[in-house]
Amino acid sequence: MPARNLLIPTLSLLAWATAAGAQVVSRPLNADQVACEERQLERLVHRMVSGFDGSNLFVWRSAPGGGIYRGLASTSDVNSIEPDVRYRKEEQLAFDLIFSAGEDFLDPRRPRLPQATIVRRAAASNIHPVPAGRPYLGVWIDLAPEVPNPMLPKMPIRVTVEPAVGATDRASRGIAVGDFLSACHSEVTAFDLAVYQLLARTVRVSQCLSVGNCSAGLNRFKSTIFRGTEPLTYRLNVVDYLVACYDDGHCSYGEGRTAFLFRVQVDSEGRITGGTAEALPWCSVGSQIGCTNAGNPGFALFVLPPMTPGGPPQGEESFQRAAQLEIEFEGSERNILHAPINWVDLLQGTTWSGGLVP
Amino acid sequence: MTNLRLRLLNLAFLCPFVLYSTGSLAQIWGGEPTADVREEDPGSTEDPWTDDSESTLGQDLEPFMGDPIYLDDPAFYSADQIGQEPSYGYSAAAGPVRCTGYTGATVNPVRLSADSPRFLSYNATPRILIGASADAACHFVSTTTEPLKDKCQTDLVSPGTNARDFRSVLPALKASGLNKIRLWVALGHSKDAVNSPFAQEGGFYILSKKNQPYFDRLVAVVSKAKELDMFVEVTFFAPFEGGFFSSSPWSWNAGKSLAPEANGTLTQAGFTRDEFFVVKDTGVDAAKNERMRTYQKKVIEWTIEELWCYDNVFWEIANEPENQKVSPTFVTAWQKEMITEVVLRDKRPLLGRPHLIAVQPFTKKGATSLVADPRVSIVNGHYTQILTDRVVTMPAGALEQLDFGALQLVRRYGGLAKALGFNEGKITPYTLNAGPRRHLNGVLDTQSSLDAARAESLEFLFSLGGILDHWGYLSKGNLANPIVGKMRTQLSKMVTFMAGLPLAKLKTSATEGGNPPAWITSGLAKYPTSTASWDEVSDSQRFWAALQTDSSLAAGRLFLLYAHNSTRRCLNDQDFTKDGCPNTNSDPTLPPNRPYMAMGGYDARVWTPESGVRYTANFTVDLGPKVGTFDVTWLRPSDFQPLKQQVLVWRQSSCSVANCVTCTGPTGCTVAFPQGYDFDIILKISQRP
Repeated sequence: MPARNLLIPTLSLLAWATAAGAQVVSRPLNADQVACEERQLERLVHRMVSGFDGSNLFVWRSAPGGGIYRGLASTSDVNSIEPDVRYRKEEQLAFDLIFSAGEDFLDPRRPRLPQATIVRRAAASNIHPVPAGRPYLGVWIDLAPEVPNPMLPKMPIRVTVEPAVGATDRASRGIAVGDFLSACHSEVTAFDLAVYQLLARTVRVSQCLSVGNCSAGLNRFKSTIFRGTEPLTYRLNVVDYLVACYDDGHCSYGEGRTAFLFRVQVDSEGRITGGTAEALPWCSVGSQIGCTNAGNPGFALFVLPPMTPGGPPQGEESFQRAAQLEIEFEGSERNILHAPINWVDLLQGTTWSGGLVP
Repeated sequence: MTNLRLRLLNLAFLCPFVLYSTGSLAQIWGGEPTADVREEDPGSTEDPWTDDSESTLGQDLEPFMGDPIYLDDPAFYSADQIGQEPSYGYSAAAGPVRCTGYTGATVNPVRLSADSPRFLSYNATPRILIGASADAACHFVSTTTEPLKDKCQTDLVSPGTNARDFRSVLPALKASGLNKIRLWVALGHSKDAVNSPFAQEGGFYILSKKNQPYFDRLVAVVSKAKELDMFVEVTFFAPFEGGFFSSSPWSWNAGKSLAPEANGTLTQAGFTRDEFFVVKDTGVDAAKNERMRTYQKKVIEWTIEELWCYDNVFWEIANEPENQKVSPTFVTAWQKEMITEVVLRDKRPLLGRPHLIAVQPFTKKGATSLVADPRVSIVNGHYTQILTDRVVTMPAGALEQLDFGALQLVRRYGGLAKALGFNEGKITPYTLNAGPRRHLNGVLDTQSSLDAARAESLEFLFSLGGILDHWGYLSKGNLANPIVGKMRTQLSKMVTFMAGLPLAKLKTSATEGGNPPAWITSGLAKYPTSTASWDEVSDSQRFWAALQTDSSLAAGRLFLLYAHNSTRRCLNDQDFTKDGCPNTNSDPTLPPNRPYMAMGGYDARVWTPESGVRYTANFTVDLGPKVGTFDVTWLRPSDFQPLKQQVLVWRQSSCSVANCVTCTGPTGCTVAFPQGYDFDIILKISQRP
């Protein structure tokens, strides 16, 4: 079990300014701003897929202005081989995603089109050749105006762990259709962006370690990270997705959202000291946002100590320190919808424990 | 034989059956016993599994939430009745028993075993029910739109020459040792009037009127089953089966159905969409759609009216009501509403206890709610493992995945005190996506095979499944196929083997987490997921299930393991490899996609001796804290014949018998089968008396 009984410093929710220089750590937002960003990122992440069953992909807006996003994909092998001995091992692929208006000067006879560029952040990724036919990590984005099945993209851009596939760009009207250039708000601080990075490296979704197990197969997971309304609150929507194939030969793509809220607490030095993770309620109708519209998510969400990707796997000891949620289905007795996070313990031994923002 | 006749005579006074014959009621007193009627006094049979200790099984199972009326009580029966088969006291000569107007003895249907509610019990004897139903339609008549090719049916013209007529099929199943069939009553998408529960008048279906000839055929099949000592799962609804909703009596748009208003006027009736068959409508068409509940309940009323006096029957609410398009939560509510109707109708002065009720959820969500309903005694699953794409469901738009196959069911509910059934999987003797699949010596076998069907069946039974109805067709494209007979023989041997086990004392190690049973301390990996525990030589993973009695007892200990070496099934009949299912996006610039077959099954990886590839087993076992002498037997699952036998003396230092392994304990002892097997194997370790 996670070490939930450690003392979490009690701080006022309003203590979101560091002592040094009163630099703003996190600002309040209104509900419309949050909803706008949730919708925008949901449109974006619908177009995105990773290349690995069970993989975890994260994306967030990485600047106060519009059109600049950052993300992280992880193979996220989170399972157990021996009874009751869990492990996490993974490779990671970090990337920047930049949309720009009117950049396409290729054809002088047509109006300039918006363009997207995805660039692998090589220093933060595990790059290596992949033998033909073997599974490999990558990120694909479909820029087509309509995207019924992002696993079969019509206008893909991509980066992968293959050395040669580190950047792609492409012009498309789909960028305007998705409205990825605008900023729903500009209240994103350096601290917020650091928390996004932290969540992408510590939150892992696993079917295999959930109460429902993964004997029937593995979904893939892609998540959006954005700010909540209150300072120091962060939303994380996990979208599970899968192509299923039937006896008559047809296959179809489906996805569903499970919504989470993270609260973090900081001390006067700007260090994260504690926090909570909670699953937001199920939607009453499917079109709502700010809630879970996946009827039966069937996964566990862990907040684990950060690890060096491609390095030694984490073992049971890390899971003992982790926060864990279980989201089986609405009303399940097995659900764990709220958990404290002992960030001090999770970040122990890392340089991040000294504060996320220099 | 004299004693048997005496008992029959006594029973005749207890169980007179009233039969309907040529328009008059005739009371039949007993009848000739079938060959299967047991002559032995059950009490005098030496049971090697009996010991003086209290059974701990009940402590291992979750509390049974059902009313005791669903549990079998041996004290309820006279000594003569105990262990008797359904045909006991039944006369086939007089024709089917008609429940309408029945005035015979009190009827006490098959129910759950009080000693082990994982199994059904008839006349105070736990039963393993195993059948091979082909689309559950022995009472249906062949039509142009549904010719019932390869399927059981009722031939109205020349039944004597039609091998698919139920009067031929059921005896053949019985002769193969099978004891269970399944029948669907109302198909939501069928357009054939002859196979509809509703009568037609003036070219319209009258939803308030029973199609009596249809129900007569249903009764005839159930009666034949009773005559043959077979049990019948009667499924009221198959909401999404039949293929022609837009032309069916259930469809509003078909314009073929009328139903009476309060003043008796007949007006158009039907569901505006097929989803409303199982989902409550609160929208603009609610009046139309909710009006149809009355006629769903009519189907239940009519079916029970015709079949309540059969004690070899249990009810199933619906076949696959949770199709992908509907919310499991709403379907569960509908199933419960139908259960309420069943309970209401299944009460008669001469019905001693109600018939059992089964449900078939396709989601964990649906199962959880239904399992908690005390009126539900049996939970059925279909296919091995299921995971579908997430789909917007009616009515609220939640995005749902089907996530619950039969093997997931038994692994989730290893400790549940209700019976679990498996009544649809891959079809024998079919091939490709619909049929079982195997590789023989590394090469895909394109012919019909049964290894994968055996594997899913035995894995289910060794997880304490109590009812198995293999989806077995009678032929393949109207052509006889040897696999049909072989599959029946296979199933028959399963019945015999399982029936020989101390059912009431068994428990399973099945869990969702997949940890090996505690009595195997090493040598058996976790139940595989994804590509875990992949064997590079045989291109397979070892799936397994285990049963045991209480290992802490001094006597009567039994340990059983079934293991098969298979893979999961992939899209379009492609091979699962060490990397999982093949990448369907061959363009390297597209994201890899490796989809499983959503409605899962196994691909058996069979290697014969000439291939040089052999499966072996080597386990360390812990047989409990007390000493004992055990027979260790490795069995070939295809015929349950021993491949290797040894004696193991447990926690003792010496042994005087031949071929004996001494195990001083307490750290465990190795049992091994290094000789090699082809595909699957059973390890049976049984304590000597």
